[in-house]
Amino acid sequence: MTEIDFITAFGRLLRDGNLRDRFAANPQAVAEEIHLRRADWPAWGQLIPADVEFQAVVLLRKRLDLIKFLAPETCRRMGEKLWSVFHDYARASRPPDGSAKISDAFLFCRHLNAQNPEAVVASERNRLDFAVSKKRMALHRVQMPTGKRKASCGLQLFLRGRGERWREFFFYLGL
Amino acid sequence: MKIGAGYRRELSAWIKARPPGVDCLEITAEHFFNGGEEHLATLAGQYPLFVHGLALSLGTPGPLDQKHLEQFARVVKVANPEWISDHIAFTRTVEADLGHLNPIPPTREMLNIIADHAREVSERCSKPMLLENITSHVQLTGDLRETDFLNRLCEQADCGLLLDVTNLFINSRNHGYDALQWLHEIEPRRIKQLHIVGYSRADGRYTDSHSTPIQEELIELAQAVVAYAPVQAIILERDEDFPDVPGLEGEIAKLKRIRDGN
Repeated sequence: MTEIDFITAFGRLLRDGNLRDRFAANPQAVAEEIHLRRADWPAWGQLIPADVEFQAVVLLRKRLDLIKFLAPETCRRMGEKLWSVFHDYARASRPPDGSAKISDAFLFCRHLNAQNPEAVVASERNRLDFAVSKKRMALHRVQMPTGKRKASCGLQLFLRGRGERWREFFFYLGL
Repeated sequence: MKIGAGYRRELSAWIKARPPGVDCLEITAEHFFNGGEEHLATLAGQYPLFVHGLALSLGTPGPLDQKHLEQFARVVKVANPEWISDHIAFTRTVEADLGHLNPIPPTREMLNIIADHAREVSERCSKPMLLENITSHVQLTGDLRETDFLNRLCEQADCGLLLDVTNLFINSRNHGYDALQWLHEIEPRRIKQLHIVGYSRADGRYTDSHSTPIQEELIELAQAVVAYAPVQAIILERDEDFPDVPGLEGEIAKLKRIRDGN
């Protein structure tokens, strides 16, 4: 098995709450588990679990900041529960590709939808679903975000052109 | 010594009004990766600029992300800054993008990795490079003391230090060491630029939220740095909860106090 360097190992620790729990219980066992280079074991052994957890929480808050940007109304509806719900979910869950911010928002909204469908704003869920898909077009009937009108029925249309660029259109049905 | 602010979209109206006391701007390279070059060129015509990176991830072993480096170089070409900078940190590993700055161990191996990466960026952009210290809630150990590591890094990479006074203060309080003693272990000629913004508190620790006014103890520490080293620029690095114009002017006035030592 190929050994991994300290930075790669530290990165895994910061992203994986379950790994941090095992690390707190037995750092050396985790070093063996992940095949950390022997030369890096001294530095690994100096890590303080509470400090690592605090740094990891900083990363979780950064993830949530991006999700708030991508699904603002859903996050606003969660109110004070948002952080605790996200923390419990994200501590052990992360996008499979390791890099896509939209995937993170999509998966969190999917998690929320499974637990409490009313918590997720449909138009935001549709947007994220289209963004992570390869679809050329999608059409949804939704309650529209409005100014003076509180809740109008309408259509949400997504169109993807060449490459990854896509556009979103809202059409009020006036019903 | 120039005084300036980190350019943020929320501050654009204030910046456009050419506020008194603001001599320069620091732009975040990644903010211009997906457009805005025309606006960047306008800013470059109005102010001396510095270009600051967030995600070159100089501390990641292996080659730099060449696509990111090319985008960074393109921004530098438009901005034509006096110098460029990024962090003594990693934001991604070979497995994932962590989305935030994380500390690196002060080892000889890491010294070589970051020095090589810093030289590569500097040569690619044809600009002098500064490296910035970060806030870290984890105190990593290695072959070298942190200050020795920084001195050797600047020497090996032929670069300067962007001393983030707030990060120094936060780390010294969280990890229990004397910030002034730390400062006096750093080779003064390497300290070219400062970052400063107010600190925050959370769960019993000091944190860098970049969202609060500069506290008096930070001004005192920054004044000590300015008295010790040939600092050429101080940048207010506010990212959130922006104050109104009088509040911004008040923050700039604090930078003037740091420069003037009063």
